[in-house]
Amino acid sequence: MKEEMELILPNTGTEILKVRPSDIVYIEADGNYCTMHLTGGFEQQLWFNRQRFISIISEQMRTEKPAFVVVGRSFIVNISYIYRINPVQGELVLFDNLNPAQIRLHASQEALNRLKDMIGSMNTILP
Amino acid sequence: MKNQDEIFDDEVTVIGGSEWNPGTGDPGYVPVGKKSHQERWKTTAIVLGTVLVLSAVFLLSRHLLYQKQFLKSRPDREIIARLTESVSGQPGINMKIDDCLDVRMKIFAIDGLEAHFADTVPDCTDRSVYFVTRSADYRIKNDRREIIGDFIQDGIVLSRSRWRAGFMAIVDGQAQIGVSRSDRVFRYVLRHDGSFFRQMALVSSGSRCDGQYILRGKVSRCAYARDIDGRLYFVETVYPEGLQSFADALIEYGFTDAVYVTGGAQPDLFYRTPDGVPHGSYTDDKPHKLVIWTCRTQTPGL
Repeated sequence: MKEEMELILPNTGTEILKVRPSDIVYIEADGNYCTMHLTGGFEQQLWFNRQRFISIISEQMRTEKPAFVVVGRSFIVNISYIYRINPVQGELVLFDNLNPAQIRLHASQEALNRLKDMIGSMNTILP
Repeated sequence: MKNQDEIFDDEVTVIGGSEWNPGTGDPGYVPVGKKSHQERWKTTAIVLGTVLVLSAVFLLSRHLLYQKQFLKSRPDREIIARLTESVSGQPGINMKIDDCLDVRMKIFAIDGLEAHFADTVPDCTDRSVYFVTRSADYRIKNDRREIIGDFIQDGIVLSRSRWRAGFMAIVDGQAQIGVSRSDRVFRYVLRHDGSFFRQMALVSSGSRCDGQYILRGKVSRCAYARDIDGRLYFVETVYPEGLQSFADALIEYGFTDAVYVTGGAQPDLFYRTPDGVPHGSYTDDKPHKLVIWTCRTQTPGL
């Protein structure tokens, strides 16, 4: 199995972050900034916006199998950690076995329906 | 991708992988079914490989262990070639008594006679009957006789076991003895509706087969033996002897192969000399399978 690549995130003018995609559970966008939620409950403030993150992922992971999905306005989710999708309740639950607390995200019913369809067509392993 | 400034509530977009080729073997996200299939094949291959290796090791160990018990005798193909030959020579039994290494033996040379198995003692007044001996061992289990070792009688298999490495094979009256755990001669005899029995090997290629000597103590012993020229004999000790001393005497006397025969020596074993004169008598109160030696053309009797 080939080694997993690492993302290089230029966080500020002087700081960079090096992180494996599998360590990122999800990104929560908040205006001009994002919060990166890593496995084990670790959080990292990113000093750039959601769009910048999407560009970085698109560029650095262009030859890798897609690992992230944009869900609504606020979230970029690592597909591996998607546990439960409930469009009726508008709830997306993520499972991180290093973090006992369930991660519950809220998104529109339409977005979650689309996410369900997308997951089904990708035939991805769900934890 | 759409206008990057527009963000919608129902947006769901996969990012990354624009140049990803699923066929390039990135195993990171192999679809469920395919991974299981591959793993299943891998596991099956490992299990099969292990079974094959273990089987090979077992068979090789058994082969080596078996071969350690005795020296290799003449090859099976030679025995089979001899079985295709017709019985020839002046029919009759020539007996002499001789000593070797302090073991006194009656040595019956068997010439020009045909062998077959029988369940009952023949009429020894029949001038075609020249010699009668016992053959395989048996045990009684649930009131039934169970023959020990491979046994074929006129093309019917009555028992299977190859531990006893000595054997006598009979096809169309032609009898040969050998020492081997191979099934080759057995299968040949079966194909030709012959007869076959196995017994402990006493001597193989002029050496003792100590691993075969499961009997202890001293009793009268007997065996079929073969000399370097291929002539067949029946040998019985006059006095009680141990298997080792009997085997040593056979070797010293010049026999290359010898196959044990059950039951010990008869007090006065029946045989008929080439001139047709009968000697001794054969009595047997036990249900042995017998080897009967006969001559097709009867010798003019006295």
